[in-house]
Amino acid sequence: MIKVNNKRTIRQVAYRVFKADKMRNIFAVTAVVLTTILFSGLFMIASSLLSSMEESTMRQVGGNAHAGFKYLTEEQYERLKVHPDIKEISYSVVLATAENAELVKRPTEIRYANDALEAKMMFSMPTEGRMPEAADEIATDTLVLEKLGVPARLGEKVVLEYSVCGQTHRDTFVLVGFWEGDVIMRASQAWLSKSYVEEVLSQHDLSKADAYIGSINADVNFANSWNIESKVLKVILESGYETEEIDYGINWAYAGGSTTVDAGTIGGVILIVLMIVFCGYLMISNVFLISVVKDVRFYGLLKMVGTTGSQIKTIIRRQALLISMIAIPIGLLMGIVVGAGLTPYVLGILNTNVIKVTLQPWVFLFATGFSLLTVFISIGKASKLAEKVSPIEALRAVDISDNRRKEKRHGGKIRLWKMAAENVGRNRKKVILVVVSLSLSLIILNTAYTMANSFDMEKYLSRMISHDFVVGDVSWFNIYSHYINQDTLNDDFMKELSIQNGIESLGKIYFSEKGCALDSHWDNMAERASNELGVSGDWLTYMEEEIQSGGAMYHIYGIDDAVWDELTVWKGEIDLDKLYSGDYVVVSPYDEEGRLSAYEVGDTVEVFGMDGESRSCEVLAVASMPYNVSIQHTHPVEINIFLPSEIFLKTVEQKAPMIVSLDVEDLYIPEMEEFLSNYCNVKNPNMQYASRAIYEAEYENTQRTYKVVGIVISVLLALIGVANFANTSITSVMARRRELAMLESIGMTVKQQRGMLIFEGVIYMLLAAAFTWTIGILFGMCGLSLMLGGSEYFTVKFTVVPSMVCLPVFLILSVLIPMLCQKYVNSESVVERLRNAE
Amino acid sequence: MVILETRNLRKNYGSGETLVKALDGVNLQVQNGEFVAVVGTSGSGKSTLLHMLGGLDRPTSGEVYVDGKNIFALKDEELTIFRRRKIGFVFQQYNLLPTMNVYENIILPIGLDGNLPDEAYIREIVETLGLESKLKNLSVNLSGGQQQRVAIARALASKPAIILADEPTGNLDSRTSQDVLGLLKVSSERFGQTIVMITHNEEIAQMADRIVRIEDGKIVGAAND
Repeated sequence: MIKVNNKRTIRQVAYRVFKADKMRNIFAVTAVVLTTILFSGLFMIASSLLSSMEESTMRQVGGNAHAGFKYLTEEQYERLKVHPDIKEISYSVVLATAENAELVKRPTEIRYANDALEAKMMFSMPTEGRMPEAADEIATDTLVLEKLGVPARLGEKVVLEYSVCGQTHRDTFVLVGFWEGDVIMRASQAWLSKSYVEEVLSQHDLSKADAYIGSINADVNFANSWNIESKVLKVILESGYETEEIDYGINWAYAGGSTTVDAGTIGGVILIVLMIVFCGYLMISNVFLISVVKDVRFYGLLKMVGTTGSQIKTIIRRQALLISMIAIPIGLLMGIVVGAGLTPYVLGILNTNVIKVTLQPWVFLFATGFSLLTVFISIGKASKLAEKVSPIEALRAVDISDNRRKEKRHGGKIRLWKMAAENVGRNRKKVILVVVSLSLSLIILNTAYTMANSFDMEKYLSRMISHDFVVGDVSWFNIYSHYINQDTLNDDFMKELSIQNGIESLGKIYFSEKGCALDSHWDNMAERASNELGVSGDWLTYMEEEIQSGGAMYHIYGIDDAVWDELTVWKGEIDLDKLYSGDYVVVSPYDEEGRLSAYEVGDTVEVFGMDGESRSCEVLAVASMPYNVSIQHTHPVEINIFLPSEIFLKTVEQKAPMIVSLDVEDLYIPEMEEFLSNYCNVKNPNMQYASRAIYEAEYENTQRTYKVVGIVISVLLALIGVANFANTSITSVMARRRELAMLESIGMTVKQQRGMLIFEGVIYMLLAAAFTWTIGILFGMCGLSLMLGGSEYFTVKFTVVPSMVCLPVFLILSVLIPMLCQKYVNSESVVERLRNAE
Repeated sequence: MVILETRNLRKNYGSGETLVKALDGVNLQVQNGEFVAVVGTSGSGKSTLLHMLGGLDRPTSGEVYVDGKNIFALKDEELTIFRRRKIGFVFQQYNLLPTMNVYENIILPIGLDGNLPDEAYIREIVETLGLESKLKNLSVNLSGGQQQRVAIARALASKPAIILADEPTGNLDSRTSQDVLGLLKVSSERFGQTIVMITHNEEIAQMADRIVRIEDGKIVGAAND
């Protein structure tokens, strides 16, 4: 094969074609810009998501160091720190955890740091003042200061209480540094001086203390975050230790894929990418196909003067490249702006702790790559068509679109809409393309709106809170801790609460958790749960083990009369008179929907009470208590027993209620809110409350988020659809210039032509609407049900309103665009157009 | 020496009742350096014959030999390359690329072949055809006669063995026709090329070395000077 250097010529031809077809370029550029916006927007959000998750993890972990060595002795630290792979290393020594009563809601670790680097690596570097040096100096964050009631001002006195080896200490320090506290971090730091900490530690025999007290916790950074674990192991081994001798931990913010992104998210992203490729394909391929069909004579001509098929392909590729060079940078810029704007909303939906808009270099790379890929996939069909053009086409100058028109006879009068329908029907593929791309935006809009609308406030609120207020111990609200037996809602509080104004109902719920032996009702429960509920995996294994061991958790609730109404009864009937006799109980089913229960009505169940005594009670009913007033955790095997409060206090346990639910007259809600807020924050920091108002605000926020995201996506898709439609109508008018001129020359008025063209546009729109409201909506709803089926807060409410609202806009466009096209074409005289075969 | 030869060339369009035999067993030989005019009425098959000779379209049966080579034994891509090296076309509609200027149009086939134009040779063609002052013009801005001269220059530029001309003067007035044809003849003599020209104009045909008549897809008579 002879190597031929014809690149220059091909380039030149491509460039000339490119310059000649301005209209096509505008459309192609628009199409590629839109595609790039979608890609870069998506990747922008993904990038922000990843870094937000990473930061969130780091903040939860409490540091950005790659890894840490734990419980080191001074000697071990000295040997490890000189290893050449270590870029940075520093350490801190834990003295104790603060035990001030004010700090129960904010764990505070008391340490000294080797140097400022350690403070930085733990996100606890004073931004005001400095690290402590003298024995009576302290640096801590604003959260701790706030809780302690100390103003954030250098020189203030700070009192710390803590205990080491069972001995309590209480000392006063001078604040020499502080920084903004971070609620996402699980604990705050209180830095003391090395001299103070060493002095206190020397007073105790540390062998009796926890391993982390008084030992060195080193934080390490390597040159990069690749495969941190193997680096850590290398350092340990090469420093002359065995891997078992040194405890270490890897910062899981750097663990990458496994902890930060799950398969579902990746699948979702891939799905969206494919959808964007498809949308882009719809637009771009249409633009190029039309341009090749229009320029078929030109390509025939090129063939005739000796351009080979592959050279023609290169010419088309070259044009696509030129278009991409213009469009992709614009699209990147716009996409990043759109993505940055959407990030807070999307991250809001995904519930990340940290919301941070981050632009990483790979966003450019991926967005450009995928946009180019889409462009090159899209031109495939067009370039194949151009490649196959026969040189004879150049001599014929006829349209090569597949005209499968049958002979038609118009009886008498010509009707414009009939002509229009025939014109539309000339190229079915084009019709499908335009209709599908127009429908897509309508379908997505409709689906997003339906989704936002289907987010069921009642379901959400009833799950979250079924009263105006719920008050309880902090531990009850915190998913990381357990309510056990705290007597937080003591008599003082109950007394003060009862004298508040406007209380409509007040329901106390008492709770006692006891471990005891399982009875025979549970023998085949694991099997039944697996068969009847489809329970599987770890949960089932755990359940089987629990049942095997014969032990279980008894959750005994004592509930006020007001609360009984909230129970959902599955079997039997709740009869308060019988319940007050103390011989009857209500039990919960195994699952929330009441499908499976270990006990049936009439069965006997043991209720464990004071002094380990137990009483046999008859099951009166099987019923579920709303999650929002239950204990906030579950075991694979647990027995929930409900008793009236009175009986509970008499027979089970004498204690303060776990929570109190309140309904208050609307007028007094602000007053109650103020009372509770004051009580929980000032009087008793161990108490916490939730209010309906808080959840309502949260609900509205969520709903708004879905709407914003849905609207932005559908606007983009609508742009794509309209671009496709405009492109099709403009090119179809351009391609038919001669035909239209011919019609004009034989007497079709400009007005008639306009009418015909408008009818064509309207036909497209009506087809799109028909498609949307039949297959489209059905498809959208199926997808939605599939997506939301598992989510309990959604009730899919079918609606076509949004797409209806959009239709007039589309109809106006369908009239306007062809009109403008015609005006543009008619700027030339009939003779000129007739002569111009192009 | 025979440069161009057809053997039993047939081309049918349609089938059954609508079968049209555009070419019905044409046997033709053209000597190197000869100027042959093919005359016939509209629909006689003369354009189809020319398309076959140039490898633009494939015959139903039969062969075409150019320079001893059976061109339809070549694959499409090979045929295209063969065509741009061996054959120059001149058409009634000129078929210039509207987006390129005159010079670019002329050297396009050379560029497509990956060669640099032989500047001296191109200048000679341009001068012979009187296009020196028009080189930078876009082809669409030229008159018909000028456009046809550019087309001839393009056909000559790659030094093809054969020039195929399809009614090259069809769109030109008689005065310009004479000029253009004169130039075609002079330049082909000067550059040693063979010409096969299609025309329905007897007067124009008279300028050729030999006239071949075609009727209903068959050669009905050949007249030599």
